Amino acid sequence: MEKDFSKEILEKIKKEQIKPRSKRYFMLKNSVVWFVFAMSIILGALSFSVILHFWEINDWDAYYRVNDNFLAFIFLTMPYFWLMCFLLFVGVAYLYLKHTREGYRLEFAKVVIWNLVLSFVFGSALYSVGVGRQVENELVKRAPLYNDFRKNQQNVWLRPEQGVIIGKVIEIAENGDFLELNDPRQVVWTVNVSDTEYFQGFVIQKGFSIKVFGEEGGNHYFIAREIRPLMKEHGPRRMLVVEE
Amino acid sequence: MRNDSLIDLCIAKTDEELVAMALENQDYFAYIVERYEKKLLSYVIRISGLSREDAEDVLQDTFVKIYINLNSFDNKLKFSSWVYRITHNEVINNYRKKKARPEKAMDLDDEFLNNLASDMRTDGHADIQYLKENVEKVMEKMEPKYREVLVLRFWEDKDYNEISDILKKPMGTVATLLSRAKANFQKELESQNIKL
Repeated sequence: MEKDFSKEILEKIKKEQIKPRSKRYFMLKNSVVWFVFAMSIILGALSFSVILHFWEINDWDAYYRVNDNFLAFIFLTMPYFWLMCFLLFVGVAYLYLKHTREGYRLEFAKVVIWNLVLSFVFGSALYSVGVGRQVENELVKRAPLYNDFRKNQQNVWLRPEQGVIIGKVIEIAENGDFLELNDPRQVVWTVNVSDTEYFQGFVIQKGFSIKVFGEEGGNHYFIAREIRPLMKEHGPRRMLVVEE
Repeated sequence: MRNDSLIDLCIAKTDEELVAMALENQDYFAYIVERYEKKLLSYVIRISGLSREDAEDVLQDTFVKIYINLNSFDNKLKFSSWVYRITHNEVINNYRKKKARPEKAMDLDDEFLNNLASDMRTDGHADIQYLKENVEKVMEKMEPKYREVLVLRFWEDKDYNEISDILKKPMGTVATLLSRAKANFQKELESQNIKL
């Protein structure tokens, strides 16, 4: 080289008072990357535990009331919000693992499989201790936007012509043969419950949100054949409902 | 400080020792620059097609980045792989800044041509001048990612592990990239009716 390159660079370094970044800076940067990776795995696992909770509380046996096609029913009742959260966190975990010092050496498929396995294992563990249900219930209570979203999702079960309605019990007749149900569209139904089964000993009370299977009798009259809570409780089949 | 005995001392030092010394006293960084400036300058020119002057500007920024990041050098990596990686990143930054990729004939040397020709299993009868003219044409037409991997493998003589560390890609991806680059090269040769 014609010019003294090393001298030029050294002069630039000295003139501009350039200093090497400290070891601590790089350690901190590396720790942040690992922290975001760990958080993404935890949040991905949490999302997966809620997906399992939704899987458990879905009324699979009554799919034909929503759609004759089982696959269509799956698509209609899929917890899209949590699926998107799960995929998002698996994606973020992937990106951050690749940004760890030696992460680039890992093959794409291996990284994705490991992220999924970690999320599945932790997610199943969280689900088994009821975390999925708690997260869902807390969000319903504390996040109005999420609550609205959930209500809209539940409206898939509001199909009187196909023999299913949902809503909040606003009145129960003294003889116990009738009740009044306010559906999410604010239509009040008179429900004949004189010849109905209650899912696994479920006892209804005023204010409960329920799902009623039966036949539409016209003029907002519905003959109930089976009554279930709108949302089943996780774990042993002790029936509770989440307030609307 | 640059007396002959000191120069001899630094020549005998490993890259890792020089890094430790440069962190203590910035003057020693000059020896790292001297050790790598020629290799890196030709690497920049080969992968970017920049003029020598522009390549020197890129290289200056590269060495400043190397200096700033000296503490992040991990001994598990070869120092040469680490500096090539920073150089590769700086070339990409330069593309982005200028948003244009100047095209210029590559200055191919005999060693590179022989390595490439032997890997392509050619009959070996083509003369160097013929190879030089035609391989240049083909290399200029190739996508930068393929051109770079061929340069690293056949010019810089880096193994798969080093290429993986420089490009920050898994070994499998490097192998795929290299095999696609060779296929691409072969296809381009055929389309231009060139026989090696």
